[in-house]
Amino acid sequence: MKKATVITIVLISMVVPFLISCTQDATEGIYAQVVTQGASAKYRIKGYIKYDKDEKAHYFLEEGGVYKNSKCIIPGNFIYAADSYDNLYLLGSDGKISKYSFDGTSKSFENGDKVFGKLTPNGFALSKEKKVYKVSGNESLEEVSTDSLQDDKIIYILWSEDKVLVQMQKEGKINYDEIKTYLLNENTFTEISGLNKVQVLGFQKAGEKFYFLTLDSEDNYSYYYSDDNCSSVKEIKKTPSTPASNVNQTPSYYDNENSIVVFRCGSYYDKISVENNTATVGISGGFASNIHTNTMEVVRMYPLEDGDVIIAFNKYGLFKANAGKDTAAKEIDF
Amino acid sequence: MKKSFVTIAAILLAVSLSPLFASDYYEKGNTFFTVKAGVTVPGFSKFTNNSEYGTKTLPKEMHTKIGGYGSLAYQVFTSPKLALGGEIGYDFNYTQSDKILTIVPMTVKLSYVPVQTGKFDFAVNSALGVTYNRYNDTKFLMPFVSITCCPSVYVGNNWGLGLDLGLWLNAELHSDELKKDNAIVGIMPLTFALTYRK
Repeated sequence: MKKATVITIVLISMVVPFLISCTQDATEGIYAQVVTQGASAKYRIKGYIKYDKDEKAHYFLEEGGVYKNSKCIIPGNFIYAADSYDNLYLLGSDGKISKYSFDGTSKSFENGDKVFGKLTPNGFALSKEKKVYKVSGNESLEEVSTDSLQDDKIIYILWSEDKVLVQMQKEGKINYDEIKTYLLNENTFTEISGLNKVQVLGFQKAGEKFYFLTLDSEDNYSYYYSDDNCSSVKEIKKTPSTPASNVNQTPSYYDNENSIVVFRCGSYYDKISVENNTATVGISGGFASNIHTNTMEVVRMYPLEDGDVIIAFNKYGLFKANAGKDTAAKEIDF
Repeated sequence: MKKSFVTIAAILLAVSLSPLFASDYYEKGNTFFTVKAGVTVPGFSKFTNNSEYGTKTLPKEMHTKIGGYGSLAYQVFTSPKLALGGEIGYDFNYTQSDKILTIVPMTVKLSYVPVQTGKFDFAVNSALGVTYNRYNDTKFLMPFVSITCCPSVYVGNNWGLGLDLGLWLNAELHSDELKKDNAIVGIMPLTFALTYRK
């Protein structure tokens, strides 16, 4: 056999598996990604903090620190951020919370010997001992009484506006039969018995009502609502579609009029009417038509006025959308 | 557009048939080894199944900056005017979001050299193959075709320096739910070509 033929066969045998493996990895159009991504996609956004309308400034947590638009105002390795009492609270990778003003000035803040694992955007912190604390505007955290909770461990903490919801069970793997769900009202946790034995994936407050997206042990997804501080919950609808994966809390927002919009995967979303407590699931197109969600994580849906919302993505930057209008979300550049 | 192509083809034909260039410098079996380096300018991207994206032109609309390209090519003359071989290259372009779009063309290359005086060559190159493309975490293979022209000046018997420019067409084709992202992308390379001939 000629030398050239041998070399050709060797090269082909090396290249073909490589080429096949490349094609299998494709989940989104490459050039569609390129043309839909603007300058804000250069940031790896870990948390969206707030939009300052007067300054037209987006505050967000990125891998390098806290940014105000394109300027890093607080460099550092932070994992969660909260906007509360006009202060910025940041949970660092060392488990300690620090306090800043929004111009980037550090303020004194006392952690004591507490080490935290999570800080929700509305200012609730979960310690490594699974105790709940709340930022209060003072120079230290305020412990939230957990006397009403049973002696289990908090496994999930979800948030919406000024509320938090915790789910608890005994140590170990998720056991649906053991899960108990509590809503924090003022300073007291109240059990929501109707949401025991399910995992709460989505939690949204809308005026005085509460809405939940749940997953049960048989892989059924359902929407529930409560209109009386959660002493009872009623099922709205079972939904066959799976929510976005790899997110702590299924992203949603209330448009301050009548609708809750829940972002799902694959450019689909669900819409719940607050007036009628009905849900339309698996809506495609509209604001989500140009959003490629296969591999992205939605960090937060931050409501603005007139039903507008800022959608912050981990890898794809910031988008402005309105689920009430049949127009695609627009990327925000700054 | 069609008129321009006809005009260029007529000029090339006239030049190649003129008495000045009647005698061929190359023979069957001569070889080219070419190293190229230069820039690539995003020209257009046309999304065939998505009217919302439509057609984007030039770097600003395509969200893609001017990039860099380098390649190696080896060709053998199969006749005095035709050389056949292969080329492998590496292209990178930063996008508006400061991420790198990578294109690795792997092609079979056919060159037609109508003008060959020994000191000066004018070659029309066509290439057909595939590109390995990578952006964010997405990798995809695309069919690729290019046509370029390259005037070259030779110093001595072996070494020549040319300027290669033309058009690449990279086609992103999906048959599944990503069909809406199908696109044809045109990129204009402008590279220096250092050739060693034997």
